Amino acid sequence: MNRRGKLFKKYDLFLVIVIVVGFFVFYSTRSREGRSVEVFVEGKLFMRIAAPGTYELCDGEKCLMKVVFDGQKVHVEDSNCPLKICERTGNVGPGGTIICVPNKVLIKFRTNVDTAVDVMTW
Amino acid sequence: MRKRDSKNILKLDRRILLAGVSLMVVLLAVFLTSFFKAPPSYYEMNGFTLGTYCRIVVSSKKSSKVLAQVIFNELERIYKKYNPNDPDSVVSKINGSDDWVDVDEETFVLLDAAVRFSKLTEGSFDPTLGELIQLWGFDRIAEKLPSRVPTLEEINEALKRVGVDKLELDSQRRRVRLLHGAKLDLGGIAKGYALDRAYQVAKEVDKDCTGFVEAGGDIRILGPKFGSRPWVVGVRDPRNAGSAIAYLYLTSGAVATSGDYERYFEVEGVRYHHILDPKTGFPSRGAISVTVVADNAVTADALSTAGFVMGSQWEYVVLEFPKLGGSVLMVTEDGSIRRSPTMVVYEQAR
Amino acid sequence: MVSSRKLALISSLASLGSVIYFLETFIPFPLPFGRWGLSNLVVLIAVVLYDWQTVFAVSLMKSVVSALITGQLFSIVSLMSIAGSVTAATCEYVTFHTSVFGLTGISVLGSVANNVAQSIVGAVSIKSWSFLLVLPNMLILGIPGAVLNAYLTERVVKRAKNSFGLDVAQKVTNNENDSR
Repeated sequence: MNRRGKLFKKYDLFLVIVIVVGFFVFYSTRSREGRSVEVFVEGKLFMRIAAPGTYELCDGEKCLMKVVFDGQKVHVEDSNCPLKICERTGNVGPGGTIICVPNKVLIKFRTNVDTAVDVMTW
Repeated sequence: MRKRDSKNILKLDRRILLAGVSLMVVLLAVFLTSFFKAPPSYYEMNGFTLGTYCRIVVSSKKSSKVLAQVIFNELERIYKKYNPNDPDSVVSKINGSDDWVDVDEETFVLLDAAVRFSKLTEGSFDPTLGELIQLWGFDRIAEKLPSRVPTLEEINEALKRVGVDKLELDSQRRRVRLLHGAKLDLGGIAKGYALDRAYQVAKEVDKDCTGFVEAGGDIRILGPKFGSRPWVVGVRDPRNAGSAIAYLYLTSGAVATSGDYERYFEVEGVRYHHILDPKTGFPSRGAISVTVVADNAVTADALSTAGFVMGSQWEYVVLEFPKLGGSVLMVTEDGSIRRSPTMVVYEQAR
Repeated sequence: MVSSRKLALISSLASLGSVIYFLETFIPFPLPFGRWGLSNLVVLIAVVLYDWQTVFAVSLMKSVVSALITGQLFSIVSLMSIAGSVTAATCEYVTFHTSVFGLTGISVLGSVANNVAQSIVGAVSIKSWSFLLVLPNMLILGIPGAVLNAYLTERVVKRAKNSFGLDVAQKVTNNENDSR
C-alpha cells in the first residue's frame, strides 16, 4: 500500500483541496477588506471610510463638506469652498483622489490591488 | 533482510527530510531578510502648499520621512517667497515699487528664466500678467469665485501694463524694475521652480534617493521607482477627472499640465478659466489641456502654460516645442489629442 | 566519480527538459498567470529513478540550458526559473523519500515550491510585494500541469523497467521491495 511511485495516494487529494480552499480564502478576504476611502485634513488622516454612506466632515461647529461613498465610488456634496472643484471632480473610483484646496482636504480611494498609475498630471 | 532494508531507508529518510527542511528554512530566511533590508518602501507625505495639494513620494537610504519634510519645507519656502498675495513676499516687494529693486541671486535667476521663456514663446508665456489676473479676480479665486467678466475697456487698460518688455533686469547690479505699473505674477513658473528646488535639495541630502514630488498635477521625478522602473504618470482626461487619456513612463525629468478645468468660473454658460492670453487679455481658446514633458520642471511648467495660450496653433506647439526642450501632448477644443513626435519615447512602457 | 553512463543520463534528461520548456512556450495557457510547467517532468522522473545528485544536476542544467535557448541567461526571468526549478527538485526529492504522497502529490508540491520560489526571487529583485499577489493564481493554475506530469512520469517509469538499462530496473525493483 505504501509503495513509492504510486500515482495517487489519499494525501494527494488533501493537498489539492488545501490549495484550492486557500485560493478561495485568499480572494474572499482580499475583496472584503480591499477598499477604503481615506480622508485627510491638512495632511493628517481624519477618518477612514469602509462602509457605504454619507459622512459629514466637520471641524467643530463648521462643516466643510459631505463625503458620499456608495461602496463603488466616492464623491463630495455641499462643500463650503467657493470653487467647488471637489464637487465637480464627480464620482471617483478605486485609486482616485478628490482634492479640496481651500479646506485642505484630500480624499483618497485606496485599494489593495496595484493600480497601474502612480500619479496623475492635471 | 527486508526489515533491515526498510529501517535503513527510514533512517536515511529522516535525515534527508531534516536536512531538506532546514535548508529550505535557511533559504527562506535569507530571502526574507534580504527583502526587508532593501529599501522597498516609499514614504508618502500629503500636504498643502504652493496654493495647491502636494504629494511627496520618496525613498532614501537615509530617513525617507526626514527627506520628505526637507522637500516640503523647500516648497513652502518658495511659495512664501513668490506668492503675490503675501505682502512679505519678494514679488510683492517688486510689485510695490516703481524703481529699481535689489534682489537676491535666486530671484534674479528665476526672473531671468521667466524672461527667457517669454521670448522663446513669443510672449505666450508672460510673467507680467499680475494686473490682468487681479482684474479677472483669479488671484483670490480660492477665497471668492469671480462672478463678472471685465469690460473690454478695463481689459485694454490692464493690457497696457502687461508685457515682458516692461520688466527690466540689470545683471550688473542684480536688480529689477517694473515699468508703467506692470505687476509680476510668477504663477506659470514658480511651481516648476519649486519642484526643481525640491529635486535639488533632495539630491543634496541623498543623491541616490528615488521617488517623485507632485504639486497640483505637476510632477518632478527624483529617481526611478525601486531604482530601475519608470513611474507611471496618467494624463488626466480634461473632461472626465477620473480617467486618463494617456500614460507616460518616466524615470527622470518632469511633467506639467495646464488645463481649463483647474480654476474657472462660468457666466451665462461660458467658461472663463485662469490661463489668460497676454495678447487679448481673455482666457485663451483653442486648447483644453496641454501636457509637457521636459528635463526640468521649470521648462515643463512654462511651456505647458505657453502651449495652452498658443492652443489655436497646435501644429506649431506640437512641432516647435520639442526644440525648446518640451514634448507636448495636447487636447484641442474639438477634443482631439495632438502629440509631438518625441512624445512616443515617454508613452512606451519600458 | 561520475560514470559516463550517468553523465549521459543527466544530459539527455536535461536536454529533453529544455526542449519541452522551449516547445511549451508555443502552447498558450487559457488563463492569465498560468503555465503548463511540463518541463518539470524530467525532474520528477529523475526523482523517482535516480539519486539526489542526479536530480540536482538535471534540474540545474535544465533551467540553465533553457535560459540559453530563450536567450535570457543572467536575466531576472532565468534567475527565477533556476531558483524555482532547484527548489522544486529539492521539495520533490524530499517528499518522494518520505512516502507520504503519491506521484500526484509530489508533483503538485513541486509545482507549488517552484512558483513560491520564483515569486520570492521576483519580489526580491524588483523589491515589491506586488509579485506575491498573483501567487495564489499561479499555484492553482499549476495543478493541471503538475497532475499531467505525474501521470506521464508514472507511464515512463513503468516502461523504464523494460526499456532502460539494468540499473534503472534494479532501482525500481528495490523501491518496490522496500515497501513490501
